[in-house]
Amino acid sequence: MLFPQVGRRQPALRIAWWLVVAFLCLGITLHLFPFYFMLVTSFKSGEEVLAFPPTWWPHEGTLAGWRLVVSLVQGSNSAAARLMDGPFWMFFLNSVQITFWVLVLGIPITSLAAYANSKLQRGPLARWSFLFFIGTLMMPAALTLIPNYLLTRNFPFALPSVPGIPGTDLEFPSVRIWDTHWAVILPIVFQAFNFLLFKGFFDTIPDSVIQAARVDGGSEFNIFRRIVLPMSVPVYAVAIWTAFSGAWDQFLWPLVVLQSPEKMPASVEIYLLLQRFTQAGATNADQASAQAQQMQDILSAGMSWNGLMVLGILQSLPVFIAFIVCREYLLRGIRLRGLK
Amino acid sequence: MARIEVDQVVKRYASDTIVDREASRTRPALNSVSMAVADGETVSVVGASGCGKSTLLKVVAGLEYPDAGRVLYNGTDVTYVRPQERGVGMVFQDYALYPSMKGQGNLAYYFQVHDRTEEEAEQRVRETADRMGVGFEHLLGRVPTTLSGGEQQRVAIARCIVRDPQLFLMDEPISNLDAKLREQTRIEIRKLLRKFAITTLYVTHDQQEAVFMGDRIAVMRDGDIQQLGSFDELYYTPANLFVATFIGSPPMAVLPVVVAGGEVVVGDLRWRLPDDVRPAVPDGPVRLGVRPEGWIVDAGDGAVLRVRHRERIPTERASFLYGSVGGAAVAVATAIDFPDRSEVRVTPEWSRAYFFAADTEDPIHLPGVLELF
Amino acid sequence: MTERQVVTEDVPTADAAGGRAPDKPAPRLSRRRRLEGVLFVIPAFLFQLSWGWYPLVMAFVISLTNARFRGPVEFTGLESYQRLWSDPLVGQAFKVTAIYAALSIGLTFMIPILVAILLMEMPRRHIRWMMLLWFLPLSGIASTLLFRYMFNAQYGLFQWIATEVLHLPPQPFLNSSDQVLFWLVFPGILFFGPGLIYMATLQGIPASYYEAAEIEGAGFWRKVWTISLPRLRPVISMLLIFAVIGSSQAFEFPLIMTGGAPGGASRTVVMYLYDLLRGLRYADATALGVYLFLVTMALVIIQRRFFREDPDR
Repeated sequence: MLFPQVGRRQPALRIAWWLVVAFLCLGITLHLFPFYFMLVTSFKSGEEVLAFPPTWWPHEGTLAGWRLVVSLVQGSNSAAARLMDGPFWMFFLNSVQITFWVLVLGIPITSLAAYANSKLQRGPLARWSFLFFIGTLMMPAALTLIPNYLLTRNFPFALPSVPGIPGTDLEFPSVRIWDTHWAVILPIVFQAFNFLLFKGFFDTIPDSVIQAARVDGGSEFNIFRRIVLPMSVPVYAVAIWTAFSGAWDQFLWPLVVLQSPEKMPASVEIYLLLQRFTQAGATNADQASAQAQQMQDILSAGMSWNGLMVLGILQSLPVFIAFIVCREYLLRGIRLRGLK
Repeated sequence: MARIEVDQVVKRYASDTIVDREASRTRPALNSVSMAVADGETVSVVGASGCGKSTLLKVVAGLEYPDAGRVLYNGTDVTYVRPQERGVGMVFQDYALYPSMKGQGNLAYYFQVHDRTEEEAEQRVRETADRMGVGFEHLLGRVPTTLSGGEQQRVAIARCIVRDPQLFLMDEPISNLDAKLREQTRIEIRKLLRKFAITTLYVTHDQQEAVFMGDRIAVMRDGDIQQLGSFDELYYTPANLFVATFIGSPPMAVLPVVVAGGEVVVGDLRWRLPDDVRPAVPDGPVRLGVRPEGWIVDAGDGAVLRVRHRERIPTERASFLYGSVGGAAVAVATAIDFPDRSEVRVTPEWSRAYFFAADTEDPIHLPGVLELF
Repeated sequence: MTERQVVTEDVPTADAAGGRAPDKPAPRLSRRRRLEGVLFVIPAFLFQLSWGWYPLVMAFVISLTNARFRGPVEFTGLESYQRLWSDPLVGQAFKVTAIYAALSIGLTFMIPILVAILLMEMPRRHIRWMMLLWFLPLSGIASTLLFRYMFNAQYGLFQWIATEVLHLPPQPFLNSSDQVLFWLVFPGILFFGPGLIYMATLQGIPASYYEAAEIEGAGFWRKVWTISLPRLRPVISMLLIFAVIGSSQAFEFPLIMTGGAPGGASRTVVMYLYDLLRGLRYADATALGVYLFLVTMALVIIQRRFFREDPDR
């Protein structure tokens, strides 16, 4: 639309047009390069990944990295298995489990609230509850990190310890969900951004359709399920995609509220492996030599960037697939109109 | 079938601001509206956009609950009864078909949510398809997005009658159609209403449509019903100046004049009032309303009308001359073969003239319904 | 329930209809509809309350106490705030965060807007795949891994580009306290998501706007300036707020890439907050969060002052 629809033959316009095309293609190339490099690196040998200059194509393609990861995944009794606290499939499964519950609980809860806010509530009530739901979007998550952490320890008290009931030796009843998957899941069940997405979409559904259904006699829930839901597939796709990638890539929060190694999601485990592989911030000789020793151990296990890249690919794969699956709906589902 | 009464209904929409201050409130969408619709009657509600006509319809349907006042069906108070229990059928301006369901599903939804059997739904849908006439059958198998406006409209009407409603509510059902289809559909809907003799409220912004559809017409403005009556009543005995100018096309010309000693003074022109009208109009400034057919052309004492524009309407064997007299826009109906002239002289035909107060909209003297026989 | 059964039990006024004064205030919605509306909202309400607003309030409460891992909690007023105020690491962390946020918004915020506008110019059948490739996502941890590898000062790809392609002396990249923040922001130039939101919004602009502008004789940039950008404004404003809040909370990427090295030159506020949390200094950590909150809120308020959302006003 920005280029005129007629008169495209003019040389100046043509040049400008092709410059835009070239810019976009260059961007795509640069954007895809990391994907390519990751894939190629995963097939390089342990020496080659450390070679300088880096190679564009593996000199001798090897599956060493993949084989190593397979042994990690199976948790079979190889030297490499010492690198991790358990078989990799376990961490992967943890991620799947966490993501699954976040989606199954979060999407219906968020969308129902957004629907009610968009179509059932009116006037000041609608405005207040809208602010109630998206207000936290404007607050830095860092602020609530500690209270949320304490809350997982002593739900429903966001305090370091459960207060005692005055006048007795007893404590108030409390639940500790810390170090369980629920501690990771529950705080992100309701996602304000998804609320905004849903609300933006539901606002564009004409009221008359819902009124027609009311005249027909559907209960509000029936109207939602039979009429609104089928119309809203695109926004569900987008919301599922954002909730999915958010939950799958979570990193800081699981690191804070999970302690048992066997409960960690894959993202955290890859990070820990990377930490072991290359300690950052070695400042003195002792540390450096200890680091070299550790590095030696890991390298002798056959672990190097190639193996890490394989893990990275495995970790990315679900995000990738989700993106491809939802791609048809991404543009149709987003109807945001700002924070108002 | 049902008799509908609307009793002093007030409806005010809550404003969208956080604090519901009195100052931020606009005037109510419905300001103590009362009306009655007889059994089997069709009443058109007409008015400019934002006058509250759709709100009135929604209150009658039960989609909105009034802040005060009552709605009665057959004498029973249904003000707070939910729409599905009122047995109404409603057609919306944008048809409001359920986009995820085929035509069949749109019609059957009512039966599904009312726990009726499949067979009954099936049978009723088939009956309705028969009633809707030729070619309707194949609309049932298609998704609304693949239907044209007219076809969607037919499905919407079918969805409305499939439940055998006791009240039809139509909210500008044909204003989204193109002109030719609108004409056609208007006749079809009229036939349908005649056939079933269902009580109907028909909302529109088009006065011709309102006249065509309604046994009676309610003219609304700013949340009030100005007048409710048959076309003749509205046309010849308007309740006020607004109704008088709203009904009729081209609209009535309104000239500010002064009446003095049985004479109407417009600028430097003086018209003598006939004896039967003179006692009804007091001396002083008034507003004189003359409809296009109320002018006598080329009488001796006529005011000069410069013809700005001439419109010929062969179907009505008439042509309209547009111009102005004393600053007021005037339309004059003449014969179709009236010669093309740049100037004519026009005089009001006093038996068809309307007089309104100069400062209010109240009528002073109206011609009354013409007795043709 | 038959369709003709007009009066049902949840009608509050049916029986008293005759005696009821017409101007008595009436319920806005029927009870059933209101009840259903409440049921729709309740779960989300509970979650938002318990994991959204309650912790927020508690954050302010805890920051005024001496909360530690164990032991009684006592109100100590602004002690934590004072302690942090005199902590040189806090000042450094805020400086690092400010530079990081400024760099990241300055370098990465405009590109998706431009790309989205240009992508919409492509022929319809090409938009799809180009969009897919431009916005193809990579899992956060995976991209971190990759960039950690590419930034390696000995054998990384970027070192190769610097020395072999650009013939510069070997660069320290993440090991230089002057450059580290720039290099942390750098990968973000290519990896971004909000482009899709811009595209979806652009898609909703009626073509007639552009046609009208064309008749007026508007050129390329004029159309961008007078139609595309004003229409995008609410979304840009929203995403700018998210960008400000998000970049001021940078944590994961710097943590994995540098862990704060060298010498705290890349230790952001949230990384320091995480250190405090690990040191079990809960009150101090929350007070630091409050400091960060105050700063970002000030920025957000300034931003909203200058950036009205509604394009039609």
